[in-house]
Amino acid sequence: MAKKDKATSGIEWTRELKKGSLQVCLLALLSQGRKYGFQIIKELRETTDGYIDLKEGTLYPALHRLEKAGLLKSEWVTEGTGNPRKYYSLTLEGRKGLKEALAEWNRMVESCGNAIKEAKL
Amino acid sequence: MNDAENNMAELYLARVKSAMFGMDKTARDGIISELRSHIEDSLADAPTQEAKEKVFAELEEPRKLARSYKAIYGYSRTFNTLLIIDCIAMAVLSVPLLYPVNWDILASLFFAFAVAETGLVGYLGGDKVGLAAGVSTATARILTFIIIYILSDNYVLRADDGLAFVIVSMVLVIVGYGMGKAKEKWPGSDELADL
Repeated sequence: MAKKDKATSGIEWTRELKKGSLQVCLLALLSQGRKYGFQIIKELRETTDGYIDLKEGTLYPALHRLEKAGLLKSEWVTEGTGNPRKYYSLTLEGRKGLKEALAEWNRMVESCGNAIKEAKL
Repeated sequence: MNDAENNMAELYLARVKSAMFGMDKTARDGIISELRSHIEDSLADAPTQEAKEKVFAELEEPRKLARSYKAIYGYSRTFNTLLIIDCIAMAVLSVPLLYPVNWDILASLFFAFAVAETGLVGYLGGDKVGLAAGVSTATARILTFIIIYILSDNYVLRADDGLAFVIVSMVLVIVGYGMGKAKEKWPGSDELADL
């Protein structure tokens, strides 16, 4: 599990890096199909080996923000006798957004990767 | 979910709902239903009593959670309208002509309230709501001044007094809009803070 401790530099690197990647991860996960909040938390935790372990107070406002931006849509679904769940899925706009975000992500990884490779520790 | 867990969940949800006071009711109810569903899923997934207790212990602090949602949805139209009406009332009461001579301090006090409240409306509702509040309050103040002046027989208005009154009233527009704009620039509630 990722540590949340402040680094000796005074900058919380884990948080700063995660902040930029959370929305992309959410869109990428939802590109596989509709999912509800608790499921998203579990799947993100599993696929990232615990690196992204969201609390509900982080996930749901982020989902609502993406929905308000038109990148996600939601629907309430009751399966069998279970409790109703709010499922989120990508809109067409969301798919376009993910495509753009991934292109930018790859560009960033490549460009920053070059700079990082040159680092002398 | 057993009765004790259900009670704990409902208690938590009631605190979140209360912290979201002023938001649109539909948005608020939707958020509460989603959180209830999340708690039910989390408890169903918790294998032991200890794990179930951890679910409740790790729930986000209600006021902090409410701040995140307020940053997204803002306040309801009704809430904003009521606040603006209150601002207008303060602005009207801040017209010096309403009071006998040497009662300027009372008018100034009401004006200070009007400025503070218009700023609060802008801060809570954003720049557009703040601008609406500022324009409404300034207009109401100026109109009240004009009406009282027309109805008054014994008041002689100098041009520079009238101009000064209008300029001072414009402070309300600047504060309302300015606070809304400033809110956008300030780092507000950050739902990613706990990552």
